[in-house]
Amino acid sequence: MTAWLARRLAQMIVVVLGVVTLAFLLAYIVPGDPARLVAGPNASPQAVASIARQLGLDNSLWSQYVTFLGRLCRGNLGTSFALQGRSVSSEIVRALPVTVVLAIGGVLWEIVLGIPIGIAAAYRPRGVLDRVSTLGALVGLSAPPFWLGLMLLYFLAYKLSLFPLSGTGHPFIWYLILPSFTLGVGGAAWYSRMVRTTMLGVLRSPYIEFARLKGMPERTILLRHALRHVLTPVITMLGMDLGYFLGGVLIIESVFGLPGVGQLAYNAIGTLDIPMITGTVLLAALFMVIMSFVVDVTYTVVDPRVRLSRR
Amino acid sequence: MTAPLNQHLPDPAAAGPALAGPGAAGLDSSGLELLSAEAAAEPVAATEPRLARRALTSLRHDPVALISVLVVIILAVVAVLAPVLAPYNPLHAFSNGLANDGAPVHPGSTFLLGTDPNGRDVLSRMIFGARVSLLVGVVATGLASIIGIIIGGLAGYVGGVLESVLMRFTDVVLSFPILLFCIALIAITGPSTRNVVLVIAFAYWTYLARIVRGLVLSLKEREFVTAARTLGVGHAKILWRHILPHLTPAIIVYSTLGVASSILIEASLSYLGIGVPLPQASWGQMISQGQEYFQTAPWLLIAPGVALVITVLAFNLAGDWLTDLLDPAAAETGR
Amino acid sequence: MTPGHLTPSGPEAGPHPDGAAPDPIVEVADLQVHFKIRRGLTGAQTVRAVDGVSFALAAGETLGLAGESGSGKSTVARALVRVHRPTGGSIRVAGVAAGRLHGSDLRAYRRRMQMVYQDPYDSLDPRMTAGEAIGEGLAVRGLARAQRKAETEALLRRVNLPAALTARYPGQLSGGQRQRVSIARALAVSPEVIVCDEAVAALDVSIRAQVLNLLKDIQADAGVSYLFISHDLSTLRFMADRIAIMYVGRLVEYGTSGQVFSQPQHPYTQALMAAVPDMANLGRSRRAGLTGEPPNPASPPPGCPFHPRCPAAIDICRTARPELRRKAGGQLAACHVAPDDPAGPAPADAPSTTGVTA
Repeated sequence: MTAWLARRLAQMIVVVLGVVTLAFLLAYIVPGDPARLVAGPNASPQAVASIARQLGLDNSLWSQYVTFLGRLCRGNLGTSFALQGRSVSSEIVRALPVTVVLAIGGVLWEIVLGIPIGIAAAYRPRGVLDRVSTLGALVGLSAPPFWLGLMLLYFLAYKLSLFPLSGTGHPFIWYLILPSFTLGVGGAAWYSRMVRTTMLGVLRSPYIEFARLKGMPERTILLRHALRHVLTPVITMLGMDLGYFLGGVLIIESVFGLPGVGQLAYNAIGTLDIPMITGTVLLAALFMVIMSFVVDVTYTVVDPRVRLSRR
Repeated sequence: MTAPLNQHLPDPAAAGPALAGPGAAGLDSSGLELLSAEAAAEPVAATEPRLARRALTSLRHDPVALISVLVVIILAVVAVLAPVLAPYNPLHAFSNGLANDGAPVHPGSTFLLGTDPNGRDVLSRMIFGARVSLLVGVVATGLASIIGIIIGGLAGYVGGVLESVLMRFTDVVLSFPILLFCIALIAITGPSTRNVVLVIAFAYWTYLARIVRGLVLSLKEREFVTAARTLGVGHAKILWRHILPHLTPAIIVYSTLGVASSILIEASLSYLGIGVPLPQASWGQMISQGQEYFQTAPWLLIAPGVALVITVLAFNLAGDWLTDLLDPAAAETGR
Repeated sequence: MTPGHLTPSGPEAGPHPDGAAPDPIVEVADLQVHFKIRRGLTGAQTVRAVDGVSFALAAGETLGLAGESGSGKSTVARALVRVHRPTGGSIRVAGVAAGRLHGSDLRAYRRRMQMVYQDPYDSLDPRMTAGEAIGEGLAVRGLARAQRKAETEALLRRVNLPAALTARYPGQLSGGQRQRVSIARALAVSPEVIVCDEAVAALDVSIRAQVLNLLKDIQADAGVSYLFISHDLSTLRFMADRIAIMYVGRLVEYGTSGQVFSQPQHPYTQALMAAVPDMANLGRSRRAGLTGEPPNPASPPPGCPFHPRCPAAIDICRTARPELRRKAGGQLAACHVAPDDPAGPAPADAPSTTGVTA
């Protein structure tokens, strides 16, 4: 196990390095002159040139990269070009809470909607609930998230005034219900179908048959025995989803006017704020890499077969 | 007791029961006699029904799949015949397209789905939007498939350092949230339909690369591949004749689902304003325009969205049906 | 061990009645095939699947290779067709050293040695018709597309299959038919040696006879040599002119079919024989069969690897590894207990004596 763990960690470090490099390169080749951006539209060429020198923009690609790496190790993501010299990391830290709550909310909706509906559908295959939930799941999977969000806003916030129309405020949670629901519906749809399929497969297996013969009520069988098989893949996928959400889901934040990391990234791209672009993209990718590692480890803990195969 | 070794026909008593069969009755008999003896002893395995026939049968029994396949076909037809089917030029802003106060016209006899904030016919834009969505979806997925097959195939077949490098690279790209990655790339290349296609392809190939690599790894060990190697068949030929045909089911399934995903990504990019540029029509972009007018002209918001849902749904369902048909093992896990 | 020791030459050579010495077409000397298994962070264990095997194969004759699963016989087969790279020792086919070939030399070598596999289904690509499978072999031989059709049909006739099967897929063929197609495919490149790796083990017993007879016919016609690998001694008795028995990567007995079957010297061979149901010996009391499990090839027992299961083991068997020596029956066996050939020492490293007597 330790051997595998060490190898997996090494792999993760390699990927992180690759991610960092790719993020740097992406920001580097974004067109436009960042020095001019920082200097402002009315600055003289000399001012622009001196700012370029200040920012180290006239150095070679390699030396800029090395400087970047060095600063990164110290936790310094640089200063924003567009936001009057505010540090990228502090901006990210400010925007993070909204994103985190949104991400957790999204995952919660996925669990709350996806798993029970999947179980119920497996309980009575081809029954009314199964058909309705399948239809709902399919629509949830196929609807573009931004459109779904807009529809929800239109009907529930505008027509029925049940929810606020945009932004944040008090109570915080209230503002995040619709966005997190929109975020989670797609995943919930996928989970409900996956849970259903897996459970149906498990329910046909011989040892479940045996439990039935023993006289165990169907509900107990479902919850106590069959569920365990479903939880492993679901838990691991949830981990990946969380990683993805934590990166900031731009579209949802845009539709609902939430000042999260996604919005930060989007504005940065619009204003060619290179340190901010690098910072947010890097953050998103890092979350994914870390969660992927956590998921792998969880798999080992939860599934003894996996644990034994990893020497 | 020693069996006569040089003799062709063994002494049944000495050789044991294993060799006293109808075949021992003599090899001088013509091949036909032997064949009939074998046919009597061993029935020929049942002919596997051809794929096309199975597909049609399964469609007949599954109304949902049938409808989704039909929808896909209809969409394809609409996309191809857009200039013929659309009542008006989708780019043209009509003078009677806006009401006196400048608001879009409601759906009526002139404009069946009303007009957009610029006075253009919504129905025509919807039809051309179908063309854009399908075009982007199909081409981006096709490109992503080619890249994914090459990279995943090489990684799986060659193995060793190349595999590690390629897979780490795939992991790196996969770590970037796909939409953010696309947005960053568009920022670099500039928004245009062509760039949208390229960008989506560059983000999406990673999924197929992973799948292909796994498949190739297991295919490599199959005995018919070993047999081909022993015959002396070169590596390129093996990849082309033996391995690639076995990848086809997975590729088809992936492509169908990939089209659905690509359409969604294009819609998202257009919604954000960095996808298909105005005045060209794209459903995502129409939704973005319609946002302002949700009070007065809600159809601007609803129609393209419904179109998107139906399109993506149809491709998803068709992909599911294809999975069941071509790759039953994958169907078990539901992915 | 030198190759000369095991070459069938001289008047005492194999089954050739006139005593003429056929040149060996395949000479395998001290073949080693080791695999590394990764254990833990750095540790790697070496599995010696084949640990010093030597034999020779003459043109037009069949050498049977027998043993339990894990004995290494399949690995020998695959090393011969260069699916596995030999870790040590040498393989010479028609005088050409096969172990270090690559590129076009390897391809030329591949055409001399072909293989028929155990699994009649998986050894044919399910997406290629029988005709295409055979055609692939013909393409390697360099035949143009136009000639391939006629030649494919000729090959199918050769293996007693109707030409109509060209268009059938493996899924539409019976097991016996599939094996014949595999044989036809192997013949397509006109090899000198065909390795049959449990080629009939997966077939119905009644079909087995037909395929074996077919193989014998082909040998008589074309002078092909066979390395016939099987765990089934009754099949080997029918097919093989000479027999080698393997245990945990090494040869334990090696002689003509007559010698080995009538007077098995090694206790392992004796146990294997006792396990074969024999109609002629019904009623005769059976000798003790094999007990226990074959050892782990990654860590075989010290001394003679068979000693934990051997009814005749003595002290020396636990410590010293026996070498192949000529035994009383005339064949070679690696055993401390079996009595040596009184007619002369013939130690393991005598240069050019024939090791095998009729």
